[in-house]
Amino acid sequence: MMTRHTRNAPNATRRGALALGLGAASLSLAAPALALSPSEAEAFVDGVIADLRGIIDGGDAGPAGAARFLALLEEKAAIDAVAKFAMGRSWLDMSGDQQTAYGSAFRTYISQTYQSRFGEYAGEDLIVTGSLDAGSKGVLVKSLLKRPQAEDIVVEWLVSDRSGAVLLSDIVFEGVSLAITLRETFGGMVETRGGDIDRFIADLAASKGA
Amino acid sequence: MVAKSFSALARMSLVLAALAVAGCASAPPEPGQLIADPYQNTNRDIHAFNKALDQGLLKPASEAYDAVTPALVKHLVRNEIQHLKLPGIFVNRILQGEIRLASRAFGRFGVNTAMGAGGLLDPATELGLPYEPTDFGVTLAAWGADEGVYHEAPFFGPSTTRHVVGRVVNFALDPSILITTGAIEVPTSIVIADAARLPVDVVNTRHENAEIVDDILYQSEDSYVSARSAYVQNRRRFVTGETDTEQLPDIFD
Repeated sequence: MMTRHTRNAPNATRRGALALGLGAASLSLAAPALALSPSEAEAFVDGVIADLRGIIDGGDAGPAGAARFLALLEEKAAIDAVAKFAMGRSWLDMSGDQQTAYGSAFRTYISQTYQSRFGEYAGEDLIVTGSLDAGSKGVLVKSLLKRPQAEDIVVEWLVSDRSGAVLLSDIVFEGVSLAITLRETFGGMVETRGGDIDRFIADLAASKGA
Repeated sequence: MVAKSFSALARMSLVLAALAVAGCASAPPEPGQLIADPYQNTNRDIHAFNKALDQGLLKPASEAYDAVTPALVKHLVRNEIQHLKLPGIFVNRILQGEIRLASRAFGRFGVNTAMGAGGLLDPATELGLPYEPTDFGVTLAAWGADEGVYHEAPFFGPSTTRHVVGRVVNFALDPSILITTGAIEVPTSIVIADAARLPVDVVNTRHENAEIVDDILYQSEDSYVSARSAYVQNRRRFVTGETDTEQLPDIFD
């Protein structure tokens, strides 16, 4: 079931009002199961965006910036769950040592990759526009990246409290999920290395881009 | 008269053939895989060709376009490219049974033609009629055609079976094909504009998405996999019109 909550609607149309009404109605039905409220999730994402902005607009593209970026992910994202998800079925075949080594390689990889990816949009406006109930997966908070010279980009943030704390599970750029992209990338890497997990982990730790 | 009904017939059979192809090309992906990719070896060869084409031609052309074109002109070009797609969008909305969206495309076309200097300017967005793109691949999906499997098409790049078919038919459905094929008499300037449309669109699109395309093709571990993954996810969102929560990852599963 999808419930829509509209915030800061620029032109309050009848359709918008109707959606809002339906949203409120289904929300009251789903309320007992929904631990994380849309407004909590939106406020959480507002905070993450402000933190990101602080790092990106700080303009530090070097290792210090990557370290700050990683610290932010450790605090605000379900980083271990994403790392596990990104390995797909290979996770179960990995030894405890491999899982530990992979966890550290994964952190290096995402902090470097996504620091540069986010850095490309420095100075552009990112505003939260509403959210969508994603059921057991949490709340999907929608935001719009305003680009004056090109089409705006829809950036969505999947927020969940399944781990016990409110954490980011995924970021989706125009439908492209970061978690799924990592899973596809890593799956391809393992495949081209003939299933050699150790080589994959070593290359992941040394790699600098996605 | 005979020629006209023949061309209508030919077009209809093309659509039916397209549906048949889109209907039978389905192979479920393996668990945990985004899309089935049974032609990966061929696809990788074509990817190498497309990548070389980008490196040697498209990337430099889009960078030159960016360098020599004033921001205002780029803005007008973007408006006009979108404007000229509206008749095709209108036809597809009708075929999708989306009458309200069809009338919005029609209204946008009228407003920007009359009040936007033939589509160079965009007063329609201010009036609540923003650009809402669609294509025949989306129409096929609305008609129940399967997505099919992954293909990398020469020149066109990443595709699904349904999108390959959609691209071909979309070209035939766009009313501007009457100009392209010389079926109607128009001034030479319009014939030239019609011919220039595709290359300008391709260069402009490459320019507008420069960072992401460069990341995928030249910064990634395996550009074939990165292109496939980004394309398939982005295309699925385009077809459904918004992110489908079914497709979101369940990382705690």
